[in-house]
Amino acid sequence: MQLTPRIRFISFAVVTVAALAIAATVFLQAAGEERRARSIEADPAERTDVASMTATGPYIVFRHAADDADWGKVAMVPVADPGGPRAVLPQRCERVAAAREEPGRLSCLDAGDGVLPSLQLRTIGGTDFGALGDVGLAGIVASRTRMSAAGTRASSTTFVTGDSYQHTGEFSTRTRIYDVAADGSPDLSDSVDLEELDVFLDGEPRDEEARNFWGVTFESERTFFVTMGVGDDTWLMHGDLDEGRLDTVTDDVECPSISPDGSHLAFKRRTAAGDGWRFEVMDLESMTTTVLGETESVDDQLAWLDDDTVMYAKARPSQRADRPRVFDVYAADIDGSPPRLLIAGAESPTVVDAT
Amino acid sequence: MYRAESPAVAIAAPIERSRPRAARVSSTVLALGAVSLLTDISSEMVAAILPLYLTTTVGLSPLAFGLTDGLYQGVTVLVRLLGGWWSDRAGRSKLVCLVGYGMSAVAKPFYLIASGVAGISSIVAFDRFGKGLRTAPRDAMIVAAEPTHRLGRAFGIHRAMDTIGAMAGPLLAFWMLSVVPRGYRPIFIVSACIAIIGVGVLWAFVPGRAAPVVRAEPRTRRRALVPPERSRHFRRLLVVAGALSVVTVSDGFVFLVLQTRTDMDTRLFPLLFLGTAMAYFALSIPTGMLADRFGARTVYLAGHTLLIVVYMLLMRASGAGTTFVLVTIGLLGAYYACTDGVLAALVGSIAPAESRATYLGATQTVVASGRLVSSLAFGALWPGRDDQTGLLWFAWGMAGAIALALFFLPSLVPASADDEER
Repeated sequence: MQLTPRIRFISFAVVTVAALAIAATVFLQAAGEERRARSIEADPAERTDVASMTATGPYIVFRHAADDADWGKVAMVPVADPGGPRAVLPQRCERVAAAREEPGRLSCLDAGDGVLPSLQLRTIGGTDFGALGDVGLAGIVASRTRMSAAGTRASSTTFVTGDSYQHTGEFSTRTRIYDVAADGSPDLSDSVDLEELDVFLDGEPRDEEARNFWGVTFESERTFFVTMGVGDDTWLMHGDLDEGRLDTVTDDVECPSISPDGSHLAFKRRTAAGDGWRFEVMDLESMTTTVLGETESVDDQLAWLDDDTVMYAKARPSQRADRPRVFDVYAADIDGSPPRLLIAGAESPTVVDAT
Repeated sequence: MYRAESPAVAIAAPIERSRPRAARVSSTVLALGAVSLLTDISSEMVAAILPLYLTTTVGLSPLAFGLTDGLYQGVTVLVRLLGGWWSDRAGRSKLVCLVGYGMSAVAKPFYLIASGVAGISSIVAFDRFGKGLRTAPRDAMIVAAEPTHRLGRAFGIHRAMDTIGAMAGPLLAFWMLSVVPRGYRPIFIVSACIAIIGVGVLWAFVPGRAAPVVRAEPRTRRRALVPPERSRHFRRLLVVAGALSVVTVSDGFVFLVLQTRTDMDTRLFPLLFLGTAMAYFALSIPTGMLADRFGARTVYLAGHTLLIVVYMLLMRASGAGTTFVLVTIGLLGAYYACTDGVLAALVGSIAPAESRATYLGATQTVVASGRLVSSLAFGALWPGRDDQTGLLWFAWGMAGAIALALFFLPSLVPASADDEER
């Protein structure tokens, strides 16, 4: 075919248009993602007072994780308006959890201000949300905390060695469950280190030298679920405080969280490649599992917004170096639908649902 | 050139003389200018962010980055001669240009995939190989497209368009980064797309050789194709160009001296390059036309005397103000305007048609090598003594080189008389 100037020109025009289209698409797509990330970053600056929060129905207690002066403080938003103004308490916590049916009862893991780690479990509560009591914790990095629904038990998990769950067998944790007295203070003398309990694997007693426990979730004021790690294996355990025993439920899942009505258990399961986790929910009656809609690997203990929705915190991708870590809380339906942003600039969420 | 044999032409001649001076520049030169403009946008937008990308995202150590940077500067030196020789031997400048521009265009996205020193170095080498390959044949095509007495202006126009691209590239990169911070992927892809459009312009709008060029039979190739005087002229020109480039302080050092001596805000550093480029752009065409009028040699050497002024200004730069800096980089830009395109015009006018690209490639190689030596020399002098001494030596060296040039190159009249091809 003779390449006449006309053909050359037309070919050139086609190639140019295609190249410009590709260039524009790639750039606009990147710009769009940036804009989306920025809009999430536009954290609500509005604050409101605590009283208005606790008076208007269920609210979510969380750790404020936006890059501003209140970073790390305990905060609350109403379940009805999680994107709206939040009430911020003066206390700073590494993790915070509420007793679902006991308003004015929070457990807080506090790292302290000093250079050397001095972890404490502190309970916060009362109408003014002041400190009710605290106990010292072993370990160097705070990890998980939960309260039972009625607020009579609190749990803490800390890292003694290591600081991440990423590599099974390469960290050591310490987990305790405390009695919380009527005045709201945690009682160290009336607490149990889970490593003291008897472990039964499929009904057979087991005496392991080295066990790790992490991620307690309270099924009732006496019973709970927890993760147990032995060597490279992880187990989901069901614990009974009155009988002082732990029984295996299943394996390979971590950080369980039980739904408010007790019908479902949410947890994270290691991927086959071993390089992360996926969130799943198990129906405790049928023992069937549904994979949740979150496609990324997130290292968090799920919490329940209601009987059909879980919450968790994800680190924001556009992290600036040497700025405090910013997180956002996402909500996902347990039917596997894609997650949605629930609270910008937040982590460690739990719900207070006292009606 | 006018062939005044036929009466028709003789009658036409006086009418031609009374036409306005500004005859139209050939579309080939404009198209090649557009290709260079687009390609420079593409390569300069990558060059602007490459140090940052390699050290942060790819995670190269300073030593590894130094290696890639050295490759970036050095690969073209060797390849230019190859490009010129190949295009002359094959008789197909346009094809060699297409290969060269094409190589650089397709290399761009691979920066995103390559990892580690070896990978990045390969991409840099490939990218810059393409650049070296195409520069000589491109200049040869410009020479072929314009009559000798308008070569200065033609190169001026081409260099001016080229410089627009060189200025727009970093600006585009910085704008894209402002919209998408750390968005390197869009930059490499947009760069590749723009480079491909440049290749398209070359392919669609620049004519290839209409008829095969008279290619010498292999056996005569070994003998000098050109009359001995012409090759002797060219050898002298090479020596002069090489000597002058050895005593030319590179931009990077000029800017560094300016910045450290005048305590300039480091964030304004990139503007020094921009200012020089703007002066270069503004003066390209005027100096090219001056070269046509007064001789390329004159303008070429005058440009180098400007450099001596720049060196003396740099020696007195302590605590100087904005005007001083502007004047210095303005003169630097003027130096470029008087030398880069003008030298190409000069070489193009003495080179025989079938060896044009080779001559141009040889010149570029000599100049680039001289620059490498000068960078090493100045870099060695600077920390050891201080830049004052270095600048003084270079100033004296430049004066000596210019004197050498005046002696070695008696007015090199463009060899239009014995040039049959036009």
